[in-house]
Amino acid sequence: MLTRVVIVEDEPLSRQYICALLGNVPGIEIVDTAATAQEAISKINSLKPDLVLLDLELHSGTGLEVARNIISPDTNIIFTTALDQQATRIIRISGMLFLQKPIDALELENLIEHSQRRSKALKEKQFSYLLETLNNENKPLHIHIPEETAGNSTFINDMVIIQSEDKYCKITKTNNSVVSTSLSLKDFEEMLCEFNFFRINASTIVNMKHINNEVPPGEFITMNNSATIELSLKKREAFTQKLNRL
Amino acid sequence: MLTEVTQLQHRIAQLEKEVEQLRSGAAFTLQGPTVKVPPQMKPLFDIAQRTVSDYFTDLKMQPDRGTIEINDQRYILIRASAMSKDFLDTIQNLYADRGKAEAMSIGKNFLFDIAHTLGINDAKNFHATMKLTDPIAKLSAGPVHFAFTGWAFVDILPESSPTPDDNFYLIYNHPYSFEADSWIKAGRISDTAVCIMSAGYSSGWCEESFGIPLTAVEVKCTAKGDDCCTFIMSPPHKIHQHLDTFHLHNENKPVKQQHYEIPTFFERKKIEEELQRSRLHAEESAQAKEDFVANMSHELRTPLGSILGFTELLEKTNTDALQREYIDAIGSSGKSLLSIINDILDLSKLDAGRFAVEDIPFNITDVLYSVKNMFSEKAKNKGLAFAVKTATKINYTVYGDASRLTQILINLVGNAVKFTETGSINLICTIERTDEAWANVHFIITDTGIGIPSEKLDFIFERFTQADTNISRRFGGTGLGLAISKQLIELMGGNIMVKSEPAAGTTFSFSLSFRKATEVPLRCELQEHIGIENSVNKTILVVEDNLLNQKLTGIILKNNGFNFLLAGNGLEAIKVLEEYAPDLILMDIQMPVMDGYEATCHIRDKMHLNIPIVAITAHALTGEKEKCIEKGIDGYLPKPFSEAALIKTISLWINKNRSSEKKGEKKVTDLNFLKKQTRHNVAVIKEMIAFFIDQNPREVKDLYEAITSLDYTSVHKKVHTLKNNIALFGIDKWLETDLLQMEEAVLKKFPMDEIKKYFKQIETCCSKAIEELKNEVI
Repeated sequence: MLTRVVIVEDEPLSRQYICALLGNVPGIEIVDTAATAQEAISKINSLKPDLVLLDLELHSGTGLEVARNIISPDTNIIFTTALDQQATRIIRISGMLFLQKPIDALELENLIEHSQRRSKALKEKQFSYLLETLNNENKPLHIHIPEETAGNSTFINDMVIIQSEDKYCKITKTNNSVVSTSLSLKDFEEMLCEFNFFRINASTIVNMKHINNEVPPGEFITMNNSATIELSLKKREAFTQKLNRL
Repeated sequence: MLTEVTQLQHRIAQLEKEVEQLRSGAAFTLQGPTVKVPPQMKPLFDIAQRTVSDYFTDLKMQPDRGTIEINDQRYILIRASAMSKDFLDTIQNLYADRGKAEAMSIGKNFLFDIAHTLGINDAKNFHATMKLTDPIAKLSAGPVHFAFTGWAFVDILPESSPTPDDNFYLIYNHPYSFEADSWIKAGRISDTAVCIMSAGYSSGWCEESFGIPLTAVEVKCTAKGDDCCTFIMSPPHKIHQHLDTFHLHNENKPVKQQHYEIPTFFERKKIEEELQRSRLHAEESAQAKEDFVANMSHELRTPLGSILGFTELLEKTNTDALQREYIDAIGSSGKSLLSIINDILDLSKLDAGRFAVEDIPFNITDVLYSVKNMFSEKAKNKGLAFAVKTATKINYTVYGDASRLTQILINLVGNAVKFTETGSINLICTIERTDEAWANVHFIITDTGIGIPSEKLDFIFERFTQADTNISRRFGGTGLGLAISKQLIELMGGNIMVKSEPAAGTTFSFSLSFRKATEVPLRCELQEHIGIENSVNKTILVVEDNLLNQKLTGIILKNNGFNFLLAGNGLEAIKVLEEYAPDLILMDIQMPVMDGYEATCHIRDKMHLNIPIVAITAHALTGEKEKCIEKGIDGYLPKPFSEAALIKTISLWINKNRSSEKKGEKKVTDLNFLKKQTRHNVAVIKEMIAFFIDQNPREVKDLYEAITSLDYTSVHKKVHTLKNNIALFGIDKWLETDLLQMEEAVLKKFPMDEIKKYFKQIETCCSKAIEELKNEVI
């Protein structure tokens, strides 16, 4: 069975390039291409492809707008973007897939393979996270942890402390349960520190909403779950500023 | 009473003395000499007796630990009879089916071997421990040691002459032989001499001492009723002679009637050595044959290369029809000769088991299409339909040997085309089985040709066999192709099958397993023939020792508009490079004075030159290509080469940018990204270049207009698009900072005049890129 693909890309040169790359991927059939958001939405919903390569920044509208209007929630979507890490934050938090431009053939092939291995439930879950974020003025409520199965979900607000341990990170939640993940502290910093999270030292990020405000921050800060964590000296000023803003 | 007391006191004193001796470690008392020798040898053996008894003073028996040690070496006591009569009886039963005499002989040879080796090892160990170096001292310790270890008391007879050479002769008695003793005590009389271990051990000791092979034979034995046990020891090849002499002097029976059993130890050793020698010899001659064939094929290819090359040049001159016919004949004969030489080289490598199958990523469809390209014209000319049918999913990159797979397919498809007059030929490729790591690929080649009679089907894979002797006359060929294909397929772990019906057609099929690769194939052949459009002003350095080949290459280059320089070997090439800067080097590998590898190393490591180097080599051996790449050579062209192949290879490497970088005119475009990503899909790259050339000036113009109309949002979008597109051609590297700063300036809404400065940079760079891309030859 061939994998039916729709390519959404407004740049003719990029479109041609992606088509050429897909030509070398086994078992791929390009059923159509679209250049505008409107065109993409109608083509995807009528052709019901297995996979959509979706450019994030279209001249008319955005890829996110297209995604929001896709009817079938288990459609495999791979976003493509030339924007930096910062701009792909909400996609990464939802766990949806994306490729950095210029696209590397091998990465494309691997990601397509990976996308096909995801279960229907997982795809739907990640898609629902993304929609939720888009409907909440781009503020994410859930984060996708790769180690979680489709049945579990992690509320961003439930996360209290994120600590790096070796190559892994350990997340402590409000109910004091602990989750380990292969995401790095840097990943979390990039994804979450825009919001109410703060990296207080080299190995720890905390959710500022869960800081015990009765204990004034000094060399250490105390969390609501009574954990005490060192606040690094050079972070103190930025920390106080952010705390005051909240 | 008093006497009894005195006797008891005497007895007590004796016991005390013994206790004292035991305490001091000496476990024995010597009452007399341990060996009997002729008077002239006595001083020597006195010394030996002292050495050996020194050695044995350190005897420790510790039954509570189950150990007996002498000089830190472990010993075991073995009941003597177990090693003689009892053992030989057991062997007799064991080998009863062989008959009594042979069973006895097996047992005796076994005992001799074991005792001989024991003798050698004990001597080695004793000599080392007691630091004996003189051969005579080493030897004379033997009989004494023999006595101390309970093997035998030795009585050396005066006729002995133990010299460390071929004349070594020792005649001696064992008056208390443990082996004969075991038979006598059992009340049995043996019909042969039984003191085998004594003979083996003593000859082993003496052999080790003098460093010459020695054997010993018991000529008289008390076990068979003789008056004593007498032995003769000598080098193995002299033993018969000594036995005869002894017999003549000591017995009254005629020589012929006397039978001595001579241990076969040295005989067997000789046969073993013989076998080893002949095996080595056979290996050497197989190697010599292979080397000869390899060298021969090289020697044959070099002049053949000249013949083919000049024929090709001759074709291009003004010739009349008859001359053209003659030239065609030379050309086609030369080509078939070349393919025969290649076949023979392959076979010799297969025979020698030195055929290495490569394991390099390649794309199966690439191989199929190269075969299709090769034969579609030929099939069309014969009016045959030729189709390559593949499963879509076959577009794998796999690990394997692409050139050998191609060779097999060329052979099978080539045969199909050759033996088919009407109808069709199909090359079908399907996937049988596949998982994450492996793919089982099935290849089928069918034709509607003359077919093969069923009685011949079994033989078609044999060498020099064709279904019919008429065939070679009608169709040509050597009958080596199928034999090679079969062996190659088997080498790659597959099996070839054939089905055929005369006058209906033939089907060959085979399956191969390939490991899937995640890498992109390294060596992508370009799928189109591309000529050199800008050969003007390009200079090629030809490094080649064969004058004819030099000339041939020179003419081809000149005809194609290149300038060229010549060098006769690596050293000359280096001298040329000190003065000139050619755009590419064609480097022969095998050359006198300095070969191609050494020259390349010098050029890369000492001179730090990046000029593309293409190796030209007659070594059509696997592994050569890898060696070239490792040494810093870029391309590889096997000899003999056609004009088209040479030009194609040059065009592939001359645009590698290395030479232009050296001259300081840096290119702003770099197609390596696109080439790698599209797996050298030339058509796509060309299309994209055309698109860029058409679109980019408009984009640049749009950006300028956005700037002049002070529309920041539009400027931002346009810069983003531009950035995206130029990245595909590697131009972004030159504009990275400009673009970043420009984007920031736009975001911060700097005055447009400032932004225009960045724009100038972008405009210049883009127009330069377009110029380059217009001239690009992929």
